[in-house]
Amino acid sequence: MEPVKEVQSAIDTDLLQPESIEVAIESKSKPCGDFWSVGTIELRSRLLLGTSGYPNPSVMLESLAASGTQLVTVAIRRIDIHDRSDESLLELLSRLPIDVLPNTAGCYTAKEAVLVAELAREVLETDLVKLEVIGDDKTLMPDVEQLLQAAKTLIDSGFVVLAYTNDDPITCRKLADLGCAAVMPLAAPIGSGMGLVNPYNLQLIREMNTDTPLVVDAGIGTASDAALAMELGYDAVLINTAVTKAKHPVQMAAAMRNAVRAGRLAHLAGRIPRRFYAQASSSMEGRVGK
Amino acid sequence: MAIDIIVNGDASTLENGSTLADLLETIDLDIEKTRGIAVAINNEIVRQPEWKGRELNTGDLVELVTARQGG
Repeated sequence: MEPVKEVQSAIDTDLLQPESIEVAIESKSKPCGDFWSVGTIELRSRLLLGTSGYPNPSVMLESLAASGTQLVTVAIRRIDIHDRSDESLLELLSRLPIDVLPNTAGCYTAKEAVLVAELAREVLETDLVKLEVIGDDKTLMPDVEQLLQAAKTLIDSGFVVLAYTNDDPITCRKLADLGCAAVMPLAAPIGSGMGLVNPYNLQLIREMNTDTPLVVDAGIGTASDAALAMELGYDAVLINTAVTKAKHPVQMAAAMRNAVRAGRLAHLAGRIPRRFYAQASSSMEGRVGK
Repeated sequence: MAIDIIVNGDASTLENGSTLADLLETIDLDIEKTRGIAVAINNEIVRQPEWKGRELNTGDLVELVTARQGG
């Protein structure tokens, strides 16, 4: 064993602090910082959060802050023309240093999704859109035919499209080829919390799309799911229900923040290959009585 | 004479010659200052600078939207 030249930063207890993990990533792998981008937006946080289902606005803001997210999703919905007291979401979100990503949730056809994206552009003055075109009420699985059609129309109209899709490698490749700013395969159905039900497909999708940012969207249940998605080399994860419906949303938001960082760090560090048989980690040489 | 339109799924009646701006005033929307609102009439976006001059016609389907919590 080589003599110890200096105290390794790995045993520094500071590494247990989230900010130090970022520093570690930056100093060990990419001197310019471990950023990723969506369109023209450069992001340090690799955790995208939804805003739906928090017990109250204050828990939402605390959770978003605890998560360190820089990009959160919102839906586009009709104004209640009889009671406009509940329109403060954008004002609330403006208190945090985050960008807002409108979605097309609830759309079942390309035509509906394109209209909602156009409305979203007016509401939020952004070209960003999380494109969802759903094919079925029960599973909320995407309708691939309509999704591809909507993605093409929106990209041609100058939108920066983050496409929520199923975990089919060919569909993901088609969305990337169309020019989506990010392709976002599901880990499991929306709100199911089942985690990565087909990590093999997700791995294939990563291997087949090296140039387009990939985000695991939907189905994350707990922190280890988020870490696994990042270990597979995904650029980010998008989480809503796992945080908002946790017993303690703020704590879960912090857990997800750390899980995403741990997964990212493990991905960069490089996991060991799996082996079927054991390989002794202690040397066999010099055993007692042999 | 009046015009009958649908606003966010509900029937609404306005005076003949009413504009989109008139409709928005009835729900206390300041068309000069308001932000974070978008309008579509018959599935076509009507941008904010056009609100004042856009006349409404019987049968128009008006959608007024904003951002809500979503995933």
